Amino acid sequence: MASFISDSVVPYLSKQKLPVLEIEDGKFIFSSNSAAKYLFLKGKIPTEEASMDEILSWESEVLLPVIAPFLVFLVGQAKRDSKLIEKVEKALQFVDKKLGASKFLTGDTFGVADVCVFCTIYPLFNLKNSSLADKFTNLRRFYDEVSSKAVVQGVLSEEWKENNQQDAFKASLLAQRFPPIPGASASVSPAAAKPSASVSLSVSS
Amino acid sequence: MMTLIDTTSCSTSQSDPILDAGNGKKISGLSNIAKHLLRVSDDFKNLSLEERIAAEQWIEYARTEVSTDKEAVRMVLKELNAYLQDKVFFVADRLTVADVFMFHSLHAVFARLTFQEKEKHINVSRWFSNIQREQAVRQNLSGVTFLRTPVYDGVAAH
Repeated sequence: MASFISDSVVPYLSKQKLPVLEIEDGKFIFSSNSAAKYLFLKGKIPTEEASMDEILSWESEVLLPVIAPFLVFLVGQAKRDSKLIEKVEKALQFVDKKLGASKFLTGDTFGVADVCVFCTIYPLFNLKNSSLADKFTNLRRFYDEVSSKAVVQGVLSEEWKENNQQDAFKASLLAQRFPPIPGASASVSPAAAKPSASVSLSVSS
Repeated sequence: MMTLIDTTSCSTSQSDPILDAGNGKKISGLSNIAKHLLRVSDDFKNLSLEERIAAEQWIEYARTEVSTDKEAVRMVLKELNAYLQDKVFFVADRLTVADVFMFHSLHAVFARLTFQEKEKHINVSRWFSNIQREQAVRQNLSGVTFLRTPVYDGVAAH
């Protein structure tokens, strides 16, 4: 039985990060993108996994690492960093372009990639001093479309539309540890070595 | 038969590898290729959906958490050491793409660790030492030494 736990975290992880999906006793899916994908696949919702993966890994490897420190800046806890803003704009441009070609991120039906990206960009449209997102018209249309869905409205009214929403969000944001920004000077981007030329993948398809 | 092709079009990053998956389908990006292999390779046909998703999340972890940043290394070793306490492989009691991906991500980290640090993270060291024995996985990466004194000193000396 799958259940979302709210009062404890994965025993082997140091960071306090939610949500976590416990798929069976002691087996955790701590990546929210993987958990969302799992629930979609488990629900037998027809999906084309390759295009879904493309967006999900872009979200976790490119979008989130730049959005997270950008949000810290927006809530007034970090200095303005023009390089970071440039990276955020570049990421938003990518998604805006995608949304120019189809209604949603993986085609014309609402899917798991849309859920995951929506959650990440949501604060951009809702924090007081954020005007950045307004210049991306396709993204704006996508945001309006998704946030008007009844099921999304239901979640938002519980989680976000409280009086002290911004304070709670700020506290949660500042309590988290974010991975180093890819390409940032102080840290080398994920050490995942590029496969050398000698790697040959022979897989029967 | 699929081949890795070396082009840089339509990917989010210039350095992303692209896999030609046949039928004109192209998969770009390391993690997307890894996830694709988990789905289509005969080697992983018997993985359950739960195991496949678990492998995917460790691939994501390798891409987003593992770096050579000092603080990140400390955290990652601690977490993986705790996770691998009662495991031989990352998922499903057998070698999967998750182990291969994690091994290649961690190689640069392990190559710099002191013997003391390796001993301190004994579970992840045991896993790493086990994985690197597989030549097909290790490819052309250098072997990392875990014992200060070779157990069979002199055997290879000629």
